[in-house]
Amino acid sequence: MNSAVQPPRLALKFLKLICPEHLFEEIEGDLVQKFNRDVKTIGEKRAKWRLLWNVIRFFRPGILLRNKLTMNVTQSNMLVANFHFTWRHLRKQKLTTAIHVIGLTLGISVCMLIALFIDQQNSFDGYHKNASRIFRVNSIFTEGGINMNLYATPLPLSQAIHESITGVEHTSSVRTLFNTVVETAPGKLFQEDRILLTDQEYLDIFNIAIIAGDARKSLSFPHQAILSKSIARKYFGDDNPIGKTIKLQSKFEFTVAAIMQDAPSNTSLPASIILPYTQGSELTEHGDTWYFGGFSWVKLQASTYLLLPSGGDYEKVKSQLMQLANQKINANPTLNEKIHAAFELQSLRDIHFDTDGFGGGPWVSAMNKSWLWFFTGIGLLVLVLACVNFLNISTAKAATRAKEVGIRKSIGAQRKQLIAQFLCEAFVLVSIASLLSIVIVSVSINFFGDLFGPGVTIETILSLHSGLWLLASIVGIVLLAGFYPALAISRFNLVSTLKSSFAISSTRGNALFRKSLVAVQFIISGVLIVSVLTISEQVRYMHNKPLGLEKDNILSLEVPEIKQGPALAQELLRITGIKEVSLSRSAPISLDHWWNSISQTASSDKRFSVCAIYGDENFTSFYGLKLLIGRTLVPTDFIPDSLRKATTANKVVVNEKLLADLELGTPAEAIGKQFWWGGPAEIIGVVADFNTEPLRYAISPTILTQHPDLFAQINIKLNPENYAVALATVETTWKKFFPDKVFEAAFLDEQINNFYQQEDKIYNLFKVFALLAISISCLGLWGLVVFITQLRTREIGIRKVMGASLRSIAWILSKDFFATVSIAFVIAAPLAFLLMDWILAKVAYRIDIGWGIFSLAALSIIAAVIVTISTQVIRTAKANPVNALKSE
Amino acid sequence: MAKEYLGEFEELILTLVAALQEDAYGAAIAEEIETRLKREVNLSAVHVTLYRLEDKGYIKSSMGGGTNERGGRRKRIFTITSAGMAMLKAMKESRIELWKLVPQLKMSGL
Repeated sequence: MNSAVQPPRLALKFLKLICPEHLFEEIEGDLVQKFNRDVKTIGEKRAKWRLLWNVIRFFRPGILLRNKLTMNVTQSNMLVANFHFTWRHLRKQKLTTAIHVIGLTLGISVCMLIALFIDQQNSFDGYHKNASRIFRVNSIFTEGGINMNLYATPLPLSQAIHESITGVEHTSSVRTLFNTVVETAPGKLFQEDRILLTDQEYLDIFNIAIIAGDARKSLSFPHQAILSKSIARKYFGDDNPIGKTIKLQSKFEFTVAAIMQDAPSNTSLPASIILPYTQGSELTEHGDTWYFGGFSWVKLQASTYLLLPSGGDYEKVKSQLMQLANQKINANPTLNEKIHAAFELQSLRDIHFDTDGFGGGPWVSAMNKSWLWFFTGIGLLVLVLACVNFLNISTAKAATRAKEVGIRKSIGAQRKQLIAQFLCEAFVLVSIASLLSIVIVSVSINFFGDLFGPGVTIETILSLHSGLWLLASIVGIVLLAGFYPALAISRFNLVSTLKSSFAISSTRGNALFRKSLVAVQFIISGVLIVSVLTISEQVRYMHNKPLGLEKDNILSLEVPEIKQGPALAQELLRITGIKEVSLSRSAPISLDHWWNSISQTASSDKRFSVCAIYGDENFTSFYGLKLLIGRTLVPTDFIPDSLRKATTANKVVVNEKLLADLELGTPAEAIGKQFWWGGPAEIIGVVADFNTEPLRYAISPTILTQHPDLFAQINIKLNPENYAVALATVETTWKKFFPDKVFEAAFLDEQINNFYQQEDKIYNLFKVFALLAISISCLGLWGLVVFITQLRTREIGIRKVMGASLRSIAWILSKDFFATVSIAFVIAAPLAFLLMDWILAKVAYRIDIGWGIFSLAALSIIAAVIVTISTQVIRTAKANPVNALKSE
Repeated sequence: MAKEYLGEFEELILTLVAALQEDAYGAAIAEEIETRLKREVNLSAVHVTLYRLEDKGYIKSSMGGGTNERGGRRKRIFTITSAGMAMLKAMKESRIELWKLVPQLKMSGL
């Protein structure tokens, strides 16, 4: 036995800790026996690991619950006593207690908020019982090297899956409609954006909570509807909605047959009305459709969701889908030979985080997962700041507790007991802070609700599962923040603590350690400040960068009946205060452009994605697009399809980027040249580049063209002087043309600002967190200054007696802090630069991170430090030296 | 069968306690399962099951001797009680009853 390998001691110690005494010997024996056999068969190293693992496996209720929870009298007395001492101490040291509690509360609140946010994001679509088996079919159409990723799928797909694909339990087509007018009673109109068209199997795949009526049956009838609870209330008040009729687009009547619970906030498909999906119906055509040719398999409309059976073979289904794409689409002789189609299967749980590929879906835009990591990082950093604060101030105050420790030791306290006492203090403080945080978070959740989006509620914190998390976090924080001080203080030598010279000498020894901690805090704060300033600059830049077009005072209205457009335009021009009017399909900058592919000639392989913007003859001047050469479009440039021959060139105005990509030379050279855009296109004018999309994206080749059948939008330039009057008149005029439609108007500048909602949201959140982080750091700094100036009271007194000026004393007291903070900033600056450079690298239009940001950050940190320490420093420096020297 | 019910793993352990007799203790049982049944088993699972069976009164235990291999720690030797034996028998019989209901399988041909 003596020569044998010894099992790891620590593992057995842990076992002893968790295992009931009467079982310990035999369990340990069994483990040792197994260990010794393992050493022979699999070697010492692996045997040790295996033993450790086996010991950990004993940490289970079957063993733990066999412990009889007994505590002898001394122990329980000491536990009570510890709380007693803690209470006394916290009350005596009110300032320290306050600093600790405030710092920890801020830190824990930030973490809680971030945890709620992340929990909400991560839970997306997870509430469906079969979430892990649900997949969305995505289509990828490739044309000459350009990928079009779509979550819409070909019309006949779901039928084909039913007929020929094996290994799929359920298939459902899901189509979404926007901007639909719902009439619930004559003249009572609502605009609905969240209408979902689908079939019965939707209910087999997804969990939809039905409150009343038979949902399954209603989806099998063509004219029945399922409403969400809140929509039903909105439409019919307290009346029973079942059996009521709603009319969509003033044409299609549906009877309400069932009511469902409102969609939760963490779903990608938050439908408020579910209707049966009928292909080819006029209502169905009202939503988006993508075409890649003339046959039904390249007409993309509904999304397709699949439910695989448990244990289903994902790869097999995918390969069958690929076969289907090849058979039905790629093999079709009428398909443009440059187009290639493929299908992808995407897990439901991945949809919400797919920012690059197919996107989150029609209603909820996808969340970039790196933001979640970013915020997790910030949460942890802020928590570290709060813990460092605690650690720092506790160690600094250690000297004042030295005598207490000395006396306790001299009457027989063991070190273990002292550690327990100090940990108990930390525990009480952290618990108080956690309770306060819960209060703060519940009060502020509404404010943050706007930033997070709906659905983050206080109930989440109070649920059992997060309760356990909270407990675990409290223990973690107590250990992180309290363990070192407890260790350090309890280590004090008995004899020296009772000598009067102790206080000063021990503080010196710890000075460097504390300075490094302050430095760490200010490195974190520095990085956060630089980041906040950079992001604020970037956000401001995105909102204000000249886009190459006019965006102020422009109001856009829908034209529900396109034929009425010109007449409406004439009528609107008569209103005083309206200067210009233009009809178009969309604004020049929009999320809703049409994208096609272009090339030099019909046969060239190199294709480019092009943004096609449809507007009337006034469009260019209306939006202030700068014509470089040539002319703008006139109505006669438009040739209707009926008169067009295959060789007739479409007359278009293009931007400079298009000339560059297609190598068409200078604007002057390009006039009259032709290129291929699904047919020949002739350049009649060139405009300067302007942004057609949010500034995340670079400018792409753009075509300005016209097609009166597409002009579903009317744009009005208002005179800013009599806004309100003009606006009211516009509405009455519009209503005269379309009495049964809902009037909705949007200002272009507001729409553009909305592009950056996510950025704004992140910036606002970040701003709050960074501010809190800095406050925590400053709070810690302040606590430290208070303490250190107290320690140096006598030194300052002597200096004053010797004739030192107020200014020199203030400098002596604060120079150390400035030095520490400056060093911290020097370290923080490059870190922040790298971090921000990495984040901005993905954005097409980004600011340069210049010296301005760094100087501003440095100045604000110095200002924060001055504000934090000045009152205390000045008070100490001003104090009457007599008092300082007299005190003992 | 009685009201009491044994899980598959419990039954396995109970059988082994009966089979190993004087040598029925945690590590030996675990090893027996691994060598005879080729089944990975964790020591803690075996222990927890043994204690549960003891709680139910199917086995009883007493401390045995220690060996060098165990670093001198004593073993806890488990022995099956008459209640445990009765349980085991009852379970076996009910299995056989059920097995008789299964139509005789033809072993040849597919």
